Amino acid sequence: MSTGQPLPASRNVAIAAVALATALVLVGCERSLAPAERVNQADVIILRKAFGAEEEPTADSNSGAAAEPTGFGTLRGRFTLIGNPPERPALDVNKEQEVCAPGGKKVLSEALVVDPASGGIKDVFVYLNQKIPLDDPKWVHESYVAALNEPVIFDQKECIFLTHGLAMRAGQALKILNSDPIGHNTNIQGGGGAQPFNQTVSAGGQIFYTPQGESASPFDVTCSIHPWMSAKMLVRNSPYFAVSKADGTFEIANVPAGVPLEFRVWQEKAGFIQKVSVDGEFVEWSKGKLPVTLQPDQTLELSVAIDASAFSR
Amino acid sequence: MMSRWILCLSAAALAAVAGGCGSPPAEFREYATFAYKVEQSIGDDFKFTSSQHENIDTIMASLFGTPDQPTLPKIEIEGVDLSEVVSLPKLRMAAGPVGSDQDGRPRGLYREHCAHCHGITGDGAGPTAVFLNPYPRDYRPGKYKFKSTPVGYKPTHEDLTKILIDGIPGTAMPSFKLLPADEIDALIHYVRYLSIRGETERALLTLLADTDEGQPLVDIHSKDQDVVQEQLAMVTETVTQIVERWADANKAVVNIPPRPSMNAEELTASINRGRDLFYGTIANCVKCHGDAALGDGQTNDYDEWAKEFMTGNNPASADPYIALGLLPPRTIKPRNLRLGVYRGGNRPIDIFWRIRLGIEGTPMPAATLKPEGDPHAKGLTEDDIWDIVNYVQSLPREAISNPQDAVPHNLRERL
Repeated sequence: MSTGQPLPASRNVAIAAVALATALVLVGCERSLAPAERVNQADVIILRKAFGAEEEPTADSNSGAAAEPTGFGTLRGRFTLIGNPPERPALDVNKEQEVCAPGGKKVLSEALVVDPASGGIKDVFVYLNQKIPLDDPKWVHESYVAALNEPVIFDQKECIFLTHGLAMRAGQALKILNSDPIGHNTNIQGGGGAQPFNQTVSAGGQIFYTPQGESASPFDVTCSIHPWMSAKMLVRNSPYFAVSKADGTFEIANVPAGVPLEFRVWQEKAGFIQKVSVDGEFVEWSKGKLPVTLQPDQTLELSVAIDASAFSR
Repeated sequence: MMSRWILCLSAAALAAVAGGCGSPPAEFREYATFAYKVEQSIGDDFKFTSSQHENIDTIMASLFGTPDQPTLPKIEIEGVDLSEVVSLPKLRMAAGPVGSDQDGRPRGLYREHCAHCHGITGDGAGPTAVFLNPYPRDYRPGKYKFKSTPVGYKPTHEDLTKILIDGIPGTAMPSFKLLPADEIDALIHYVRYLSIRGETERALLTLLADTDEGQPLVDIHSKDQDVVQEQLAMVTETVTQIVERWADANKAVVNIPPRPSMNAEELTASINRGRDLFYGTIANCVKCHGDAALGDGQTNDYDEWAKEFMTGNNPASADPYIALGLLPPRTIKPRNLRLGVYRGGNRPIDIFWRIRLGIEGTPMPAATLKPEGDPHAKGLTEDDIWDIVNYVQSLPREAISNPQDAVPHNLRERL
C-alpha cells in the first residue's frame, strides 16, 4: 500500500461504501414529523406555580370597570368587489340528477357569489369578536331577547342548502328542513364550543340542532350523501352578527354604543378580510378585525370595496 | 495516503450507520398541522413567531408535563371527581419508559403497547402508522368513533374499555384482553390525558391567533400582574371546559330499549321490514352502503381527521400539512355489510348504536327518531332501527355474500 499504487478495485469498493454510508446518514430514518416542543424550562416552573396559585380569583380583576354602553346604534354597510368577479365553477352533481339538477341544470359553486349589477358580494360574515355580558340589557338590546327562543330555519332544495352563509346564536335552535323528495343528511362540522352534528333528514322531514357554544370563525356544513352540497355556518354567543345579502348589504341593529367594539369580517373564499377600501380610503384590518365605536342612535354606514385578488385562495 | 483517508472515512461512516439514527428522546411534538391551519385561517402570509410557539409549548409543559413525567393542570369542576377523568397515579403507570418500579408494578404501559402506532404525543403518527390502513387514531382532536354517546360528546370509560378489550375488527387495532384490568384502566386514563392535552393545544393556538401581532398568550414576565392573572385565568377556563366535556360523557349515554325477542317467523318479517327501510328515503342507508350493501355507494369522501386539513375534498390541498406530519389522506369507505366484520363490535347493540347515533368524524349520520305524538313527522322508531339491525346482521348470510359452509373452528389439515 505504500508504493503509491493502490489496487484500483479495492479503492472503488471503498469509495462506493463511503458514498453509500454517507447517503444513508444524510437521508436518515425519519419521515416528515412535527417539530419537538420548544420548552423554556425556567418558565415552566414559574407558570406551574402561577396556575396553582390562581385558586382564589383576584378581587380586583373586574374592578378595572370596563366602559359600559351608553345606548345603541346601527352598523350597516355593503361589500363590493373591485375587478372582475371570477367565474363560478360548476359542481359535479354525480347522483340523483333528476332531483338535484332537473333538466340538466348546471349547479354552480357558491364559494364567491357577486351580484353582476352592483358588484355586491354575498355571504360575507360580520360579527362581534369580543365577549360581552349577555344578561346585561345595556349590552344586549331587548329586541334580541325574544328571538333567542325562535328557531333558525335551514332548508335544502334541489340538493342545495338554501342559506349558504348562516349565522345564529349559540342559544338558538336550528330547524333543518328538507324540501326535496329524497333523503339528505346534515353534517355540521362544529368548532370551538359549537358541537359537531350529523343526522339524516328524510324527504320532507325536519330535525333540530342546538350548538350549545360559539365558534371563533365559520365552519362547514355538508351532506355526506351529496358531497357537492356546501354551506358555511357561524355560531356566536352575542347577537351582533350579520351575513351580507345578494346585493352585498348587511345591517346589525341595536349595537351597544359608546364603547369600543371589535368586529371580524370573513368570507369563504378570502378567509378573514384584511385589505379593504372603506369609503374610498385604503384600510388594513389586521386579521380581519374591524374596530367600531358607535354613538347612541348613530347609524354607521360602511361602503367596503375589496379587490378581487383577495379571493384567489 | 489516499487509501488511509478512505479507510478513515469508511470507518466513520460505518460507525454512523451502525450507531443509527436511534430513537429520539421521548418528547411531545408540536401540533404543527393545526398551528398551520390556524395561521392559514388568518391569512396566507400570517405566521406565528418562534417565541410564540415557545410560549405555547411552555404553557403546555407547565400544564401537562412531559411524556416521562405527566402532570395535570390545577382545575376544579363542581360535583366532579377529577381523578375519575384523569388520575395521576394511573397516568404514572402508563407514562414513561417501559419497565417496573421497585414493587414490581408496571410502568410505561403506553410506550409498551400503544406508542408505536399512536405516537408518543398521541398524534396517531407513530413509526408504524404510515403502513397501516386505516391509520391509527390521532387522539388530539378528542373525537372517537365507537361509543354510546351522540356525535359531539365524549366516549364513556366503558366505551373505551370495550375498544381495548375487543380491539377493532378489520383494522390493526388488536385486543388487549390479556392485560389485567388495572393496566387497561391506566391506559384509558392516559389516552384521555393525551386527548385533553391535544384539545388544549388546539384551543390555545386558536386563542393565540387572537393576540396582538407576535405577543405571547401568557406573558409571565409582564410587569402588569392584572394582565397576567387574566391570561392565566383564560387558559384555566379553556382547560376546564375541555375536561368538563369528558366528565359529562356518562350523562350523554343514549339508552337503548332491549332488542325485541322474536321467533323465526317474526325475525324474517323484521328482516324484510329492515330491508325496506335500508332502501327507503328515511333511513337512506343504500345511498352510501350501495345497492348491494357492498359499501360502494359513496366512496370519494374523507374523514374529519383528514378533512379538517383539506379544502373541497381535494387531496392535493393537504400537501403542506403532509409536510408537517399529516399522514396522506385516504378516502373513507362505507362498510361492506356483507363481510360480517363490524369495527365497533358485532353485538346487536353495537350496530344499533352506530345506526342510532352515527359515527363521529365520518360521513355516517345519526338516524332521525320519529318524535312521539306526531303521526306525520318523519323518522325511524327504535323498533325500526332493530329491524335494520336484523337486516344488516342477515346480510353476510345471504347466498350472494358467498358464505362458507359451517366448519368447526381451527380445523386444519395437518401434514
